[in-house]
Amino acid sequence: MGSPFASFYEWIRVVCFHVGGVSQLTLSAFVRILHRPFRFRLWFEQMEQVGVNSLVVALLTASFTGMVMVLQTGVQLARFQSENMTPGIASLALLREIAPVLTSLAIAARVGAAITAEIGTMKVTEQLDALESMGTDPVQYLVVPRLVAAMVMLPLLTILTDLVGILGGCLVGVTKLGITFHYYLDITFQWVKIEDFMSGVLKTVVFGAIIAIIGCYTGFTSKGGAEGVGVATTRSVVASFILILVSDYFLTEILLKVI
Amino acid sequence: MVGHAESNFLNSAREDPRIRLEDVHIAFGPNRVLRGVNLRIAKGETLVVVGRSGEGKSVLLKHIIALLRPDRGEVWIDDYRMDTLEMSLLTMVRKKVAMIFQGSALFDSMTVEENVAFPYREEKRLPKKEIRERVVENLRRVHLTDPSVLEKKPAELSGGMKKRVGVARALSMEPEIVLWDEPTTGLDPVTADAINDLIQETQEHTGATSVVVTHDMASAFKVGDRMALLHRGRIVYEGTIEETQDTTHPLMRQFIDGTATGPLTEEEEEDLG
Ligand SMILES: Nc1ncnc2c1ncn2[C@@H]1O[C@H](COP(=O)(O)OP(=O)(O)OP(=O)(O)O)[C@@H](O)[C@H]1O
Ligand SMILES: [Mg+2]
Repeated sequence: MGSPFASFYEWIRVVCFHVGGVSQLTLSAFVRILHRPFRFRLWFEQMEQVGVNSLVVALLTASFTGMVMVLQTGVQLARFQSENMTPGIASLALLREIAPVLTSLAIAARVGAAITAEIGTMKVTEQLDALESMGTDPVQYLVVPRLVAAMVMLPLLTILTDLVGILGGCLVGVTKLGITFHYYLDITFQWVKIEDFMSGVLKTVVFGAIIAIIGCYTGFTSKGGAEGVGVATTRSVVASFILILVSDYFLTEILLKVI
Repeated sequence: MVGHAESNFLNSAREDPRIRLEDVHIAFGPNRVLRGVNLRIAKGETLVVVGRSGEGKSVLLKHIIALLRPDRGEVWIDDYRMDTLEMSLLTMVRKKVAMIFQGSALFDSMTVEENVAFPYREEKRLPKKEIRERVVENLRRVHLTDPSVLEKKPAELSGGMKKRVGVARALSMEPEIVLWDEPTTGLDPVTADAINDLIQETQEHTGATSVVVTHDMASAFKVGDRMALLHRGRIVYEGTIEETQDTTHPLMRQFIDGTATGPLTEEEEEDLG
């Protein structure tokens, strides 16, 4: 205790422990997706949950981000008399980065936190023990449906937020920057290629997995009653945020090479 | 007659136990909870485990179905070593064992009906109508007969009702071994006695082996064939119910009489064992 070296050592130990735990959970969850019993009813229930929980927050995030993007780009480009490029630049940034990442962050805060709170409560009230004692595998029963749901729903929501973001941007373009509606869409479709759209959407499959796995893992490892669940929920959101942002960089690097 | 059956259990517990714990140790950080538990439970017998609060009785039960694994020692059910058993076999053994949790541990996202039906639905062998009938029957056995209870969520139930739904869910496992963690705590005397009857009934009708953790001595003497006392991480007393009633074992005596001063409550000397 006390020495900074010892506490650094302790920190490394804890980080390694959790990295190990998360890797193990990820592996066993993906293995179980392909194994009986397939709990399709639970999968669809979770998809519904993810959709219901995140639709409003995702759409709000997307529309205002689209709007502010166009406003900022438009005003800055006007300094170089290049405001006619606004729709293209804003839409590219939106589809490739802003919409997928911000949607995922918003959903991590909403859905990831809900997953941790639910599973954490099950843990501290011994419901997980009860599940296991009856011979039901908690990973198969709880993690797999949430993982599948997040990996399916996040890309779908991102497609929606892409659309809403562009429309929001278009609205600002037309009303504030004096660009016509037709011109706006023309430029957007000239600049944006299907690859740009795909690379944004594909990333969110990984972000969805991160949100579900981290949400479940922090739930499983929470302890100490309701207070412990609260702490775990905060941790879950922070960890998902960091992992989403870090993996976003590396995914972008890979995707730029591949497509 | 009863005495005869009890001594039979004693013999068969020694020679051919259904559940066997060998030198089980577990510590949570510095808190050494079990420090060498040895226990054998015969097929078809009801063993009552008593001990003061926080001694590790719930921890002991959780070791039997491998919800916790010992730091040292072995846990056996029949010929399966539970603490190291591979997953698919463990699942198979667990389906024969039902645990009634101290805090009920009902699934709070599900209704009472879904909770009690859960073991049947997981098995996927019975048609829906049949499941429903058995759910109603199992709830009736714990004296929950009001049909409106089926649709309720656990949050809408009283503590005693939750406990009984927990018992009903365990009955749905149609278990060969039942682990009861304080099944009568928090129940009114009438319902508590109904649970006592139920424990005896499951033993008599299905030949189930039971381990009952309880603080309720009336219940212990009513349902038990044998009794064991857990104290400072070890089983310090074991005897048939008859022996136990007029035992002179100082720790067990104090527990039965419920006196505040005595060997049970003496300051714990540093144990380096
Ligand atoms: N998962 C766990 N992690 C850490 N400590 C634990 C855990 N489970 C139990 N303990 C500790 O083990 C000890 C025994 O707990 P246990 O719940 O088995 O007591 P008990 O004999 O069942 O008591 P009661 O009669 O009050 O139910 C306690 O000190 C408790 O804090
Ligand atoms: Mg207990």
